[in-house]
Amino acid sequence: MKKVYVAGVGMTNFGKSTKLGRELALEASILAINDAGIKPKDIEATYVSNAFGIAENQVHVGPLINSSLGIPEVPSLTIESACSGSSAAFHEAYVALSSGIHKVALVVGYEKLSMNPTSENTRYFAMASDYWFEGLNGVTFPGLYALMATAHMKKYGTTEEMLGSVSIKNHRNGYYNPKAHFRKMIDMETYLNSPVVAYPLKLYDSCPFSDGASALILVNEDFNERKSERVQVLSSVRSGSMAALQDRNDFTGIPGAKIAAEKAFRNSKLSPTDISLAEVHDCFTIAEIMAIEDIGFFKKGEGGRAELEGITQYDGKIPINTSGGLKAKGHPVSATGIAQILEIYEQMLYRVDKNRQVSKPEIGLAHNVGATGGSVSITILKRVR
Amino acid sequence: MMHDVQAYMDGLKAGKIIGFECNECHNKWVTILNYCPVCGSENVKDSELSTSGKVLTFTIQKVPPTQYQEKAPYAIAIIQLDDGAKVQARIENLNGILDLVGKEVIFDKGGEEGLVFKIKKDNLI
Repeated sequence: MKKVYVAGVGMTNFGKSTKLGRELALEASILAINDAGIKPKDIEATYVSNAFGIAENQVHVGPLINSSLGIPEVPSLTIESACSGSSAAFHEAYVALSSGIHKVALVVGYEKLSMNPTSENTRYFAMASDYWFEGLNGVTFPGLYALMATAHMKKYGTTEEMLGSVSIKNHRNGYYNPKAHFRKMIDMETYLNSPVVAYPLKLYDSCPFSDGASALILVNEDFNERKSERVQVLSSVRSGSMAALQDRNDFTGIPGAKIAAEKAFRNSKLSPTDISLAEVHDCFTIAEIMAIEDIGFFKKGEGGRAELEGITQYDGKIPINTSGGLKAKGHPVSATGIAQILEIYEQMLYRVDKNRQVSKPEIGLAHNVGATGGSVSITILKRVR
Repeated sequence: MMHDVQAYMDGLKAGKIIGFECNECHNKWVTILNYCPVCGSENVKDSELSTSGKVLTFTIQKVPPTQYQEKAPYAIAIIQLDDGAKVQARIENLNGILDLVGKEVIFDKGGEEGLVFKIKKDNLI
């Protein structure tokens, strides 16, 4: 297998945008191309991720991006994997580059939904559940994660304050991220007083619907024109879980995340203690707590306490979501996976605000979940000098 | 020929929950399966599931999807049926109950508005 590297990254602001989704995707792509110091002509394949383009009357966006970049002959592919779409696209690019089929790939994810009312977007999101056996009963995505939160709180004594610490930390980190959707700090009182969305989850447990795009340039060892800093992809693993939550034996974690993490550590001959920072899928606060347990940073049931004790702060023992996470940076569904990898790249190049810069970012892990865990991606990255 | 989603929906309207049972390991499921996710067997058959069980976990859906606005707040629960199968259902007769875990529930109705269970009368405290 060829060695594969991230050679440049780019993202738009996350939040509400008046631009078209395809324009956001192109903007992020050009930023990544410039950051990598390559020309569009160097790109041999384009991997696009988008879930809800149909809301903008626009699908098949790969050829639009390639045409705008002046490379219409380059093959493109659009991938949907709910909230894990762009890490799935990243994985496909990784497979093609590590096999040697291509040397340089553009991977871009985007979402644009702010023209819809929230109720309409909630309906869109419910389509990623097993609709006839979940969504049809009147459950929303906050509701599905709330089912897991209730189970986790009952079994392990996880408290509201533990969930709140996740939200407060991620809002703090987002405050120092100029591209984040929410750039305001919150305190425990604000968290506790926020309205309930799906008991036990509140407004401040939930990530927002965001518009935005993120992109990166992936190269393999055969691409010798070294014009930018590179971060090596040590492992890219995808897994899954039974699609409907009720079909699983346990609701306090995501089986596919555990499987993917174990395999990624095995592939890279590393263990959770080797990781200097991680971006995990905190679509709801409980999801971050489950993630840090599923990955193996903490024993099952101890994630909430770790959050409360500040171990996951940017200057803590294992910094989690220094970007602000989905909670504060925002969650443009199919842009999230790449944005996580982008944060780790930026951290490794010491390009982020000093108030969230990790001191020794040697090895990073990204954890991206589609729906309630039907799809999961784990990526392990290493700083190279 | 095993049942499809339409047959499941028709079953709900007739007061039945039609699911699947694995003939090898005897696990039961409500979602659409052709192979058993536990033992991998293809020896899976249609099975009428129990219509009563206990709540394993729940949420109170304060902000519902548009089409369920008038029913809110209601609970969504994962229920372990008496025969071991697990289903997700909506529960509307909350009666001010704050914790549904362990409550005994029975089939109420089903169809275009999903699967609805209700809390048994003597559990309504």
